[in-house]
Amino acid sequence: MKKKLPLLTTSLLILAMPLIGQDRSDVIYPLDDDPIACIITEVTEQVIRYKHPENQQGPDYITRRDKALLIFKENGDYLLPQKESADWVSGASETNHKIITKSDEVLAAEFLEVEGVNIKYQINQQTNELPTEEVLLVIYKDGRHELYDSPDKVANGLSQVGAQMSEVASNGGQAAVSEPSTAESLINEPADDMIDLTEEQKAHFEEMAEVKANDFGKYLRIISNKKEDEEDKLYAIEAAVKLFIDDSVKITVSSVNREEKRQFIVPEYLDRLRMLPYDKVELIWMRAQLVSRLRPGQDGKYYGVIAAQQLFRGYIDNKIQYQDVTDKNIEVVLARYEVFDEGVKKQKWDVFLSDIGVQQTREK
Amino acid sequence: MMIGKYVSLCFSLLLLSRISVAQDILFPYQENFAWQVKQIDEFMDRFNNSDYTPIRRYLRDEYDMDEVSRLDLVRSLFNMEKQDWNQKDVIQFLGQINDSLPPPYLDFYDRDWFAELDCTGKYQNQQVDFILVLSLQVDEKTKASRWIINSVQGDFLPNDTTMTFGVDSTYDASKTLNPASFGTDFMALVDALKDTANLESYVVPQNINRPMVAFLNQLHQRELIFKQVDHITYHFLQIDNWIFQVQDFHRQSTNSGWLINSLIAVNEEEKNKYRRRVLHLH
Repeated sequence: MKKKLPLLTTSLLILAMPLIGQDRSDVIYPLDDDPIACIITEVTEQVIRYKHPENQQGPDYITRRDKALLIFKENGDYLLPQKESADWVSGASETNHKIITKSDEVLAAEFLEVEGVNIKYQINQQTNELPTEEVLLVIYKDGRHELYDSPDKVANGLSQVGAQMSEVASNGGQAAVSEPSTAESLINEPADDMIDLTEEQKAHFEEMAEVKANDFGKYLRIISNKKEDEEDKLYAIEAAVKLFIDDSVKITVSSVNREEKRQFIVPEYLDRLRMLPYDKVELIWMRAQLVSRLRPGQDGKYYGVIAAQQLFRGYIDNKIQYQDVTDKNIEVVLARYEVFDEGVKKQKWDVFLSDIGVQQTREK
Repeated sequence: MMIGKYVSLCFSLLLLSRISVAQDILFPYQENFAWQVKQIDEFMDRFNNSDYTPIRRYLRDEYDMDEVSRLDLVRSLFNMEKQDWNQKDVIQFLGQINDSLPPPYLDFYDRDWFAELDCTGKYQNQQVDFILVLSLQVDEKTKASRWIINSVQGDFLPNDTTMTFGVDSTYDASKTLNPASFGTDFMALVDALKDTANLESYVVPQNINRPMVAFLNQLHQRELIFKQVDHITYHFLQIDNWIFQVQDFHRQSTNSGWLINSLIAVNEEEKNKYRRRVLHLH
């Protein structure tokens, strides 16, 4: 899903505005990939979870923390994920723009303007000028940031100026922010307290449910693909499980050739898929479609069904050993949940995948 | 038969117009999947020719067909591979659907449709078969709904059980089978009927007869373990003068999924008898 921002060279940055970070979303600067514009939902010691900025009700995406150089939040807070026990630093100040130079200085400017290859700024009512080639980064009062050098050099520079940033922050009256909490709990309400959704809201979540089901199909392809790195498969399993309302959700597999139905919890099913004994696997996921619209249940949630079809082929020594077509019926749940967003309790709706019935209908 | 010929002609015309697409290896699967009646409420949407019907969207997107007649859609809901249809009944039924004013529609929230589940369990370590009949219970105010067990039949269930109910009556009423449980062939029953503390929340209290008491007590004492739902038949009694049964047909065909497999002409008295004798409702 990555919405990538172009990584521009310093000279290009000067010529081509807007610069990196001007999009109003959070940005992850990976070690060796283009920046990812996203909405950060959680940063743990191991992983960074984020959402697509244009699909904030959508699934969580995950990248390893040690694969990121620098993370900037929309409000100017930043994190250096490579540093052990690093915490979020309040980058923006309400009173000053900040210019971080290549000589590890932090300049707090009342006024700032980029003119060609120079940055004109004002400190204590005195106007100064600085060539952009001497600048690493600018963090504006409103939280926007602009990189004037490569992300690794900017990350290194920010690491060097750590204490100065805090001083400028305290001068600006800005307290350091802590890592956002994403503690969530689903709300079970009796039907009497049912909140009616408008048709537009329902249609939106129905669309989101289809997006999540199709994301699930993409993860199935990664997990089953023998060419994928094992570690990436494990992350795909983790990300796929996050699409579900909880990890105790079950998948029931039935077959026209077998009377007994087999039931697995989702992580177990995905792990079995990862370890299928083939040299090569082809998995084609037909577009998932909501076939039963969201209807209110008596527990305050809404329920619907998505249908998808999957073609599967397993090869050994380049010969097809097994192939089938399966129909997948995925229950979807629209639920309210509470989230603590930087200490503030909020209620949100989100749609999740739930129990799945898998019918192995025919071997081709 | 007549229905089959008509639908075959429709398909041929459709396929001719998309011959290049047919060369795509996935096309037959996509085509069959699009026509497959994947869920029982998709069956109802198609029966009603509602705007949301997925097949209407498919025909519009893939074949630029904006108009599809309700009669054609209802015809496509019959099991074409069944050989012994009563032609006279089918024609009369289609005529009633097409010509009546106001036209009859199926309603998801109407009480007069039921799911009959052929189930397997283990009773005292022996495999046993039994039938559960479920219906949708709807809160008229909020339209919030849940599936609920109306009746149970099984040879191993004694008819002379005392009506002593050993189940704790302080059950959690919020434990329910959600309205979309049909989507996964009621697989949630496996966990629901293991939840012995809340068994009462899954049954209709007015319908607790002797077999039901025996069934619940056996589950409660863990003498009976619910294993799986094997087959489902939906019974529709919503259309005046008719009862029809809908079953799931898994096959590589444009005529697959949930299809009408039985159509019976009845009067009101016969409908009541059907409720009592076939569905064991009280």
